[in-house]
Amino acid sequence: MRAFGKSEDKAFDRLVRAELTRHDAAAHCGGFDPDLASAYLEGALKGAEITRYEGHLAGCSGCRAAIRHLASPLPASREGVIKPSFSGSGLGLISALLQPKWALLAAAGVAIAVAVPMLLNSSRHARQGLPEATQVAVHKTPEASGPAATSELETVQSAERGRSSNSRGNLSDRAAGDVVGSYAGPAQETPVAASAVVPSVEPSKESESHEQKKEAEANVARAQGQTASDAPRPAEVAQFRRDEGKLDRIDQKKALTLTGEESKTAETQVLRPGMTTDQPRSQREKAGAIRPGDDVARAPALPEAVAGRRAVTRNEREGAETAAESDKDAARLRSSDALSKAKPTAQRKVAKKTFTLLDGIWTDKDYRPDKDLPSVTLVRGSDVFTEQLSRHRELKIYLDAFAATDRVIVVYKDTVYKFVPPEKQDG
Amino acid sequence: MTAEEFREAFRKEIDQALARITQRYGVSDEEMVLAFYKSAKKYMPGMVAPPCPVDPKVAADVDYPANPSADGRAAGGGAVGEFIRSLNCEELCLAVACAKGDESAWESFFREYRSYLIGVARSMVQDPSTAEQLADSTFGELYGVRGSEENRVSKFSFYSGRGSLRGWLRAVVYQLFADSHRQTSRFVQTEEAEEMDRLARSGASSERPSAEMTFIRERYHSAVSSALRAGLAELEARERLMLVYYYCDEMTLREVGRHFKVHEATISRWLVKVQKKLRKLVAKKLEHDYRFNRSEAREAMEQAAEQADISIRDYLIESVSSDRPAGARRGRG
Repeated sequence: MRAFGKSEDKAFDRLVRAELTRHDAAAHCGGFDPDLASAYLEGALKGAEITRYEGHLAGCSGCRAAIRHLASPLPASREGVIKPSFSGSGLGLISALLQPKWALLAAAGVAIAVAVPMLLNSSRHARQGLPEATQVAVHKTPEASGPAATSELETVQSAERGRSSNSRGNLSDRAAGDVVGSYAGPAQETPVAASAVVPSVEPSKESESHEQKKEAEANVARAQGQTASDAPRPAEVAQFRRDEGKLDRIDQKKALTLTGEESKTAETQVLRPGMTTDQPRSQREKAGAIRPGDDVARAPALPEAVAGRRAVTRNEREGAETAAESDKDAARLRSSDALSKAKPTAQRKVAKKTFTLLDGIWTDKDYRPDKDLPSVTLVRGSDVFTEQLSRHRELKIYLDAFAATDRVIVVYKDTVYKFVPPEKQDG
Repeated sequence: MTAEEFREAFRKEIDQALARITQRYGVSDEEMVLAFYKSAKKYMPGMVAPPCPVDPKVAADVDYPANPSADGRAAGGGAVGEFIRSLNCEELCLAVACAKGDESAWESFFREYRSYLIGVARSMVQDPSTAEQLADSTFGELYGVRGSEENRVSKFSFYSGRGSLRGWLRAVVYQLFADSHRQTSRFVQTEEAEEMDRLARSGASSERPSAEMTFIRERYHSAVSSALRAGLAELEARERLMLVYYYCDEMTLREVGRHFKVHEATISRWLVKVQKKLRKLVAKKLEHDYRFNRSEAREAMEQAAEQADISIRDYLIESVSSDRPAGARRGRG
């Protein structure tokens, strides 16, 4: 049996859609029953009750919109405010450990573990009068060079990434016939700015650095979701300051020398941006760098035949082509060569199109990189994606044949549509 | 069947249910029995209705016979007993106590459900102050602020115990949110089929079709529409719901699958089956009622589909892209 969406009976498909849509938009009973809806969603209804209610849903867009909304899980950020009732449900210790309060305690521990080395470091630099790096990631104090500190730092950074990506990822209800309104998504609290977690301490005066250290501690605490009342109390901070002076001094030279290699001194490398070494780029790397506008990375050298042909063309056209255009043409030629040479691993027919899996991308057979067609890249689930699909319903037919994580290239109405899955979110 | 008869008939199940409740908040046995009775009456009217002749229509909708014999009554009694056992008695008791206005019950409710309710409100509305208002109005409805103290009707009295209290609360918040949103937002007016056809005729093509073609098209269109409506009515409720989810709500196969708790491939297979079934029903109707042969039926559907495309597209463009009423005439060159 063919999968749905690949049916060739498009006329009938359109008819059904038109007939159902025509009568659906205005259908609203005005008698939404929360009790019945919640019982249906929780599977508490039986047999004929389910049939009766689904029959009602099929004819009532209002109740259907309600069911769709209520069937979606509550956002995770809202689950933190939920206080589940443990009335003998038998979940016990494990569920108690999963409580938000334990997560808060763990987060507080991480915050203190991160703040302590930062403060130690800043006090050390304040005494030495050295500038402090503003990026904690590239600055490691000897005390904080262990894996625990690194992992804690990664935890903080990943928490920051998680927050910033959450603020981009507000959901909206995609129901076309929802006259009631959209599911607006979770109300996002304003995320703490990333710079608040990575304060820059000016090493001018000790009193200023002291104030800024306090601010840094408070910022770190806020970044971890604690309130002001949960920040370290002044007495604790004062005790910490007193203890700070008692800590052993670290021999810098010793710290920069690795165990077992005392004869060598630690060397620092200044990395060039985008490089893994400090060596200048080789010619090959320069030639292979991807520039904006290129479809693929450039190969180091052009085939002689191609270069020769292009030179003839240029001569014939009296120098009309610039070097950039010739590179672009070469890139297109190479990509079309690559396409033709790539071994297809699978093929799929969707409606009247044939897609071939090339290098992990489902590519429309009509796609020709050497053709100068406008190209649109769409991230699945984005607003632009939704808008384009609502404008071009036929695209949906093609997309439905592939998984949400598949990359797909479709040529439709003289436009190349490149569908990519959404980025994975950390945190 | 009165509440007393109900209690007598199902004494064992009711007593077992009452024994499961750990905290009563001063709710008496009679009040709990009344709550059970109301729930049973709502969901099983065929079994719990008064002993006058039962409306056959109502009885046909449920699995229980209209006038059960002794054996039938025993079977139905088993179903009612099962129903009582399936109720969330603890939460139902809390709801009944809150409906009465019991302070300790309200304290318990606030302790256990307040933050959840506020979280649900915030999940529906981005603006924190609006979410707070929504939460406050929900609490008001739950308490029953609309009437006077004597005529206070708490929303809790509508909770039957069939689903969980948490799920019911979420649905109540949604209902209030939807009601307030409906009052404040503009509606998209919908048009009758005739109006959409008029739009299609006015903008479809610059060529003026012949009278014969127009007649044929209209005949095909009305025949196919009628056959399709009849075919849709003959489908099962779940089949119709699947089609509506896919075509009207534009849900993906995965989303539909998630709703019915099956894999998207299963939904795809089901939809193919339903579409084939519907097509057969429509073709049969066209052949029997309109005397179309097979090729004529196919052509009729294609013609009707063409017209449907034009009318739906034009209607959507009309109603979405401008503030004019959807029936306003477009000026096309």
